[in-house]
Amino acid sequence: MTAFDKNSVRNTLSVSFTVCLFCAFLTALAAVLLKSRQDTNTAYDRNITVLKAAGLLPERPDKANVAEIFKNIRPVMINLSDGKQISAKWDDAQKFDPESAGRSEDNGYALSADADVAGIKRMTKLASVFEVFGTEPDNTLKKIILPFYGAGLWGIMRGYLAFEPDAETISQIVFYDHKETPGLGGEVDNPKWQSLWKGRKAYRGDEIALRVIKSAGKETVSPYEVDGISGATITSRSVSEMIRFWLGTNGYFNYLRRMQHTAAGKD
Amino acid sequence: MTKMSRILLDPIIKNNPIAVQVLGICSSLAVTSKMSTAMVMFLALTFVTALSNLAVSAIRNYIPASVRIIIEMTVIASLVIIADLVLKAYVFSVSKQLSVYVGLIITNCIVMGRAEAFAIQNPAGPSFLDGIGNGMGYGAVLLIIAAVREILGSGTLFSYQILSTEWYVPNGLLVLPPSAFFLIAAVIWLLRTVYPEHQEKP
Repeated sequence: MTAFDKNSVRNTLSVSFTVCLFCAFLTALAAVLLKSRQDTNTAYDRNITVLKAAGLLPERPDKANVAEIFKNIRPVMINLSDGKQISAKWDDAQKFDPESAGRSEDNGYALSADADVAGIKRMTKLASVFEVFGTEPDNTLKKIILPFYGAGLWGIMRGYLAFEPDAETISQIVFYDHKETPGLGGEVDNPKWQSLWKGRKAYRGDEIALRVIKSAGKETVSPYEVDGISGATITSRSVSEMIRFWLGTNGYFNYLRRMQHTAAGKD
Repeated sequence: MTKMSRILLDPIIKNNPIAVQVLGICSSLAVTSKMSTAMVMFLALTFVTALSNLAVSAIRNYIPASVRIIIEMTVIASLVIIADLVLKAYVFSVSKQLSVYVGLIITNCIVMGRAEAFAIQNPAGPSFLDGIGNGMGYGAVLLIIAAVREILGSGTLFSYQILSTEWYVPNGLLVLPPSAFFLIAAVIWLLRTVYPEHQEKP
């Protein structure tokens, strides 16, 4: 037997192969073992944001009280073209991802450059919204929560827009994922700025009236305007455009119209 | 000091990876706006450096010279993936804030630098300690910078209110990454004043 030569071709190949195999095994093992925990975390994190949008987030959220409050929140699958509800399993509606649906051939379509003000290129035909009801025995609709996303300054911003049951008045906006500059565009997470959205109206007749403006120090008085974030012109404009896009006919326009009729009919 | 304890403790102050070797600067700008992110980053990096040093050192007599860096990279990348998966599973909210920076531990010069400079030519025991020591040195600087940035930038420490916003106006500059430059410079200045042998001749 010849002396061991670590630089031989044979040894180079066998060591590389063994190291790769071993590392692949370890990472695969970790991925498989931790998968269910991660899925729980992602779902929990999303639920927390939904509660924030609904204004129902408890002071110390934990798995138990979040699940308890979620009993009053129903995920509803809708068809965006007519706003009608379509039947879907609770779980499918809850986990529905508009972005991957938009990319798919069946459930998505390409947006023309003019229509694509949110910078998302492809749009979903279906959506999953959350309808929040009162705690038993009060079964009336309390909030409507609509997921939305669009291009910000540095990346896609994802969030929820919550409406009062009249499907016209906004009660809350929250973002659960964005890459805006901390301290500037990142201020979309600032509760003070988010509170400016409360009570704003989305539509004036059939027109989408809501927009983010530069108030330049003036108090905003119009119910259709939200003051932008100073130092974050592009982020403010992006948020304005993406909200207007999702309020439009490509987005939730028809659904919100139906909800307005239902709300008016009940009165 | 014995040789072993010197290997472990020297990188914390005297041969600090950030302040003296000037490695791992980019992540220390990015993750030091809050104590919690700095702490998790410190633990993740220490885990990766210690185990990659241990693994590289254990197989150092079999690693062919021609593919040395690739093998080191494979080991480091696997450990970083595992660290990232563990963070996502156990401290989800912090891992969300760290976002890409956990993945970027792969390119953190400290990990690669220690594997190449130390582990490839030393036995497993000292290599492991060297990894822990350098992780702690990195962590020490990270925590100092994060403490200053979080207290002055947000008025909090580990998210607990320290300076009341009633009379303290948070300094926005300290929330932004460039402020870490000034703080790292201050630490480097301090260390080179205490250890004049590190001063380069102008």
